[in-house]
Amino acid sequence: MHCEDAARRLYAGEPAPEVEIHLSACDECRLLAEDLAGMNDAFARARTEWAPSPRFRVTLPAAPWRKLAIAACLLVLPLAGWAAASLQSPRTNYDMTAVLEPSTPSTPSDPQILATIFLEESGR
Amino acid sequence: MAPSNPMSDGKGMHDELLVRRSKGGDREAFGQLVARHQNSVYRVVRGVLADPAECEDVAQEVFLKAYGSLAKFRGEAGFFTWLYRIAVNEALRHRRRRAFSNADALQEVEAPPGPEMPDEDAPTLRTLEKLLRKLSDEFRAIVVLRDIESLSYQEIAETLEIPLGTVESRLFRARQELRALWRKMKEAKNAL
Repeated sequence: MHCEDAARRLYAGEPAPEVEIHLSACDECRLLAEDLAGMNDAFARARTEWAPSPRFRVTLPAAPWRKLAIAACLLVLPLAGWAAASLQSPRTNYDMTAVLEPSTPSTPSDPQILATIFLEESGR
Repeated sequence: MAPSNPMSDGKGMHDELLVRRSKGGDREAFGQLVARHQNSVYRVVRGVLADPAECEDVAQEVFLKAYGSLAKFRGEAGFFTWLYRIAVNEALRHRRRRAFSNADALQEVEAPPGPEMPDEDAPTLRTLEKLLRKLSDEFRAIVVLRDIESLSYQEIAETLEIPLGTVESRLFRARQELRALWRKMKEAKNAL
């Protein structure tokens, strides 16, 4: 077996008795086989040691109906709060007496007095 | 090179049922799908991003995207290959966006070998992440799906939407490049 064939089989991961025979006589291919075996060990360690942490979680987005429910709650809650607040708050007490009582006649102002005197004088 | 994928051996049937219930609005069923696949999705995201920071956020985005587009899933391929496709695409999108907006990310890729280089015979997980970071997007995705997630060639073809022959050749070249990077890294360390 030639080195080229042995290397092709080693890279393809196809062990065969003739490759073993070749390796026993070829230092270069034996070095290749050792390197590949070493890398295989590293891959095997990756298989066992590469793992997500225990706190790894996948948080799925909320379902559409849940989004609608949340939106409805957000809309309804302030309205309900406003309604409850308006029912409980005391009504404004208007001063009804001020509306119902007749207004007292006001005393004539100075211009009115002056106008009256002027009219009386001009009538004479 | 990779053991058989546990999702390929009949558990997909259970996924189908959960997907059907999720489509009908059963959020608990989708929660079960998350629980079943969260580790795989996280690993794909971490492998493609090649950086532990932000992986959980991106994994979360993957599931939210899957939940949002569940109606489009017609069940022609397995649920997990569909989910992996979303995971790969989201992680790549996130990586490109970050690289575009953050100059440090680009500097990191081009960083010269320094004292932090590996002092080990086989790559550690940290070194593996560094090596993955230096691969192109398409190489990184295929290595993660095959060598970490153990998907079959057919499942990788469905996930990445590429022909089966392309899966084989791309995986071969990706492993070649990964090994070359590892050699280079080791030689750089030995030269110091």
